[in-house]
Amino acid sequence: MGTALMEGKQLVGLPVVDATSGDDIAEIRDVVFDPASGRLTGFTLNKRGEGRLAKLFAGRRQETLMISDVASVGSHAVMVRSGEAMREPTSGDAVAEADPKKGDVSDDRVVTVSGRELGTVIDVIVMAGADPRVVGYRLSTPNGGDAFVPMSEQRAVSGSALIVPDDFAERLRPDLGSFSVEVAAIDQGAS
Amino acid sequence: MTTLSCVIGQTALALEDASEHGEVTRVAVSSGRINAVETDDHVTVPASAIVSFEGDMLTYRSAGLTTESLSDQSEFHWSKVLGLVALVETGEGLGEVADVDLTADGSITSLIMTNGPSIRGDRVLAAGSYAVIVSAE
Repeated sequence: MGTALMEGKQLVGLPVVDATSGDDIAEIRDVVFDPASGRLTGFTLNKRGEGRLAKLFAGRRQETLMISDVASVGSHAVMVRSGEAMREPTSGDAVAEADPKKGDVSDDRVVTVSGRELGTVIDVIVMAGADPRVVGYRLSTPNGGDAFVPMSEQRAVSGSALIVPDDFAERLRPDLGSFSVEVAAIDQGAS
Repeated sequence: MTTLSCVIGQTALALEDASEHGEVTRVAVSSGRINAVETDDHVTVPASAIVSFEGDMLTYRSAGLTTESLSDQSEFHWSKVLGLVALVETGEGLGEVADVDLTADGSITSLIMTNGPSIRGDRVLAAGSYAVIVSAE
C-alpha cells in the first residue's frame, strides 16, 4: 500500500491533511514538477471548502506546499508532517517560481525522434507513497485511445512537445496496468 | 465494553449527593484513552473521577472535578469523531468511523467502521477536524 500509480487529475482536489493532528489544511490545486527529471517539486493549493458552492468560492491559496514537507501521497489525501507545512511564496520557492510554460506538459505533442506523432499528453502519472514522483505521462492517441509513456523514454521535453525514441512507437502501453508493470521493471533495473 | 456513542448523552451523576449534572456532550482523549468528559451543564469530569464508562449513567466522585472547560484545552473532542474518515498515515482511506469501542476505564480498543473491518485502537495516532489518523499495519 502507498506505492500505487495515480493520475495527476486524481490528486487535484485531494485534502492536505496534517498527519500529526488529523486536520485538513488545504486541498491540492495542481501538481508542480520538473519535466526534465520527473522530480515532484510540490503542489499549489486551494482553500478547503465543503460542498459545491463552498468549493466554488473557496479559491486558491497563496501558500504552496513543498515536496520536502509532504509525508506521503495517498489515494485519499496528501499527508504533511505538520500544520505549518504550507509556505508563503518567497524568492527561490521552486513551486511558486516554476515556469508555467516549461512546467505545463498538458497538450504537449508526443513525437518520435523521426517526427512521427504518437499523441497528446493529457496527464502525468505519479508514483504515490512516501517518495512521490512523476513516472510518466498519459496520452490521447490520434485514434482516440489511451497510451502511457514512462519518463525513462523521454528524450526531451518542452512546453509544446515531448520527444521519444523511434522504436518506442511499437512499445506504447495501452493501459495503466501494463504501464505499472513496466515502471516496476524500470525501478528494479535502476536499483 | 461500551461505545463512544453510548457515552455521549449519558447523564453525569455525582455519587456524593446523587445530583445530576447534565449529559455528556464532549469527550477528550489522550494516549488512546478518554481523559475527561464535559456535560451540557458545563461540568468537566476527569477520567480519574469517573467510576466506569460502562454504566447507564456516568457516575463520578465530585472530589476529582475540575472547573477547566474542555474547550479551553487544545485536545480534539472525540465526540466529533463519529462520521469522520479514517486515514492511514500514508494517505490511504479506510472508510468512515461508525463508532468507537471502549473499555470500562475509557481505553479505546477499536474503531468500528461503517464498511470494512474494525481498526485496532493502538493504531490510532491522532484525530482532528477531518480525519482519524492511524498507523500503517
